[in-house]
Amino acid sequence: MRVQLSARDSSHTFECNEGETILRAGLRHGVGLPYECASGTCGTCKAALAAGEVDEGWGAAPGRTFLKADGNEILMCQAAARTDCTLTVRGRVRPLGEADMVPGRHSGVLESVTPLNRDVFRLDVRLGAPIAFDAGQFMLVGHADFAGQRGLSMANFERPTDHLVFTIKLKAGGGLSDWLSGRDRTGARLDLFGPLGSAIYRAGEVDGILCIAGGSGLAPMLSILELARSVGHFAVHDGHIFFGARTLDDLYGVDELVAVRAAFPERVSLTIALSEEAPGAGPEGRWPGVAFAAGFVHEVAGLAMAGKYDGVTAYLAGPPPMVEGAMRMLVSQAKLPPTRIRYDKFS
Amino acid sequence: MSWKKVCAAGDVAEAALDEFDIDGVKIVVTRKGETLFAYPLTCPHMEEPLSNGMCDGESITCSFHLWQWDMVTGESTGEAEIDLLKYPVKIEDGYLHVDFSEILSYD
Repeated sequence: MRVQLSARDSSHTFECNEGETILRAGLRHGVGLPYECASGTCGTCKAALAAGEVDEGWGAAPGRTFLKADGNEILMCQAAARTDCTLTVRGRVRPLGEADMVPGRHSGVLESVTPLNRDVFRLDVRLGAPIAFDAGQFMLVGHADFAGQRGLSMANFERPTDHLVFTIKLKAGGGLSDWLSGRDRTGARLDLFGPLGSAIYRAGEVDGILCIAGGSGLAPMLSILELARSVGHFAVHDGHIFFGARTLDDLYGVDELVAVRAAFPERVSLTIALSEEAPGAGPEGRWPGVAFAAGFVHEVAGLAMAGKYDGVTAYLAGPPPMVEGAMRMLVSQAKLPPTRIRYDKFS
Repeated sequence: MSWKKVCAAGDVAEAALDEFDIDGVKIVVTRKGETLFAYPLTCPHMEEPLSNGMCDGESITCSFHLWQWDMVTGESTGEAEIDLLKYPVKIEDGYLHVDFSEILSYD
C-alpha cells in the first residue's frame, strides 16, 4: 500500500507493508513523521485521513482522546493502511537527517530478567545483529504472546551494540508486564522496533546536563550519563542529576548514578527526592555524595537549580505528571527556552 | 462589525491566560502592562487549550509540546511552526471588547 502524506511544508510518499503501522512505515523509510510515545497514548502522531481505508488498531488507545470527534483523524502509530491512503498532518515533516537513527524492526532474545527492587526489573536483550542508537532513545518491545508493544528506554550506551539493557516497572494489566510476571521468560524471542525518540544526548554537545527523572524514567538518563561520562563531558561541563521515587524501597540504579558523580565530583551533583518518605540518616551513609530531599523531584530540582541554568540543557523522563510539572517549572520559573528542554512522554 | 464585550479589563491580570467562551467562540486573554491580547483558545499544533499553558510576561508557551510565541506579536519564538492568530481588541468603558467579525482558525 502506498501512503501519500502532505504536511505543512512538504509532501512525502512511502510504502506500507500489510499490517504495518503508518508511523513505522514512514520512519523506516526515513520520513520524520511526528510522534512521541509511538504506542498510542500521547496523540502526537495524529493525522487526517483524506482518502483510503485503514485498520485503526488499538481501539482503546488513550491517544484517541486527541482526535476530532467528527471523524476522519487517525493515530499513525496505530493505523495500518488497508488501501492506498492520503493523509494530512498539521506540522512540518522533514526527512530524517544524516545523523538521525533510522528505526527498523529487530529481533532479540531475552537473556535475563533481574529484579532491581520490588517492582522494577532489568531486562538484558541480545539482538540478532548490532544496531546504533542515540543515548536517551527507546524501543517498542513486543512478543507474539500479547498484543501491543511497550516503549522501553535503553539504560545502556554502546555503539554499535547487540546488547540492549531495559528497565521495566511491572504494572498489572500491561501486556508486557503480565507476560513477564507469568513465568520465567528467559530465552524468549522479542519483537522490537526502533530506535525512537528525540530526547537524546550526543557526544560533542557543549551544554551542562540537567537530568530530572522519576520512577522508570531513570533508564534513558543512565544511557545519557554513561555516554557523557565516557566522552569526558563532565570534565568540562556541569551535571545536575535529580532522581525521584516514592520511597527508599522504590529506588534502583543509584550505584550507577553514584559512579558518575564519583568520576567527576567537582562538576556533578546528585540529588534523590523521595515523595512519600522523609529520608533518615541512613541512606546518605550508604551512598556517599548523594543529597536526599523530601518532595516531588521537579520541585526539589526547581529549588536546587535556582540561578544555575546558564548553559544548561534539561532532560526529562518519568510519569507524565512529573514531566509536565518539570516542564512548567523550567519554562515559567527557570525561563529555560523550550529548545533546551528534551523529553519524551510515556504513560 | 461584531465587537463583543468579554470582561472587565481590570479582571485580566498581568500574564494571565484566562479562558472565555463568547457565544461559542473560545478565546484566551492575557495582559502585558496596559495592553490586553486575545487569541483563539487552542494551540495551532494539537488544539490543547492555551489556558493550560504558561505565560511569563514575555511569551506564551503551550504545556503540551512547548510551542512558544511572543505574547505581543503572536510570532513563534522557538519550536512553534505556526504563529498565533490574534483577535482585534479594544477597551471601552473599562471593559475588554473583542472583534469577532472574522472567527480565527488554524485549519
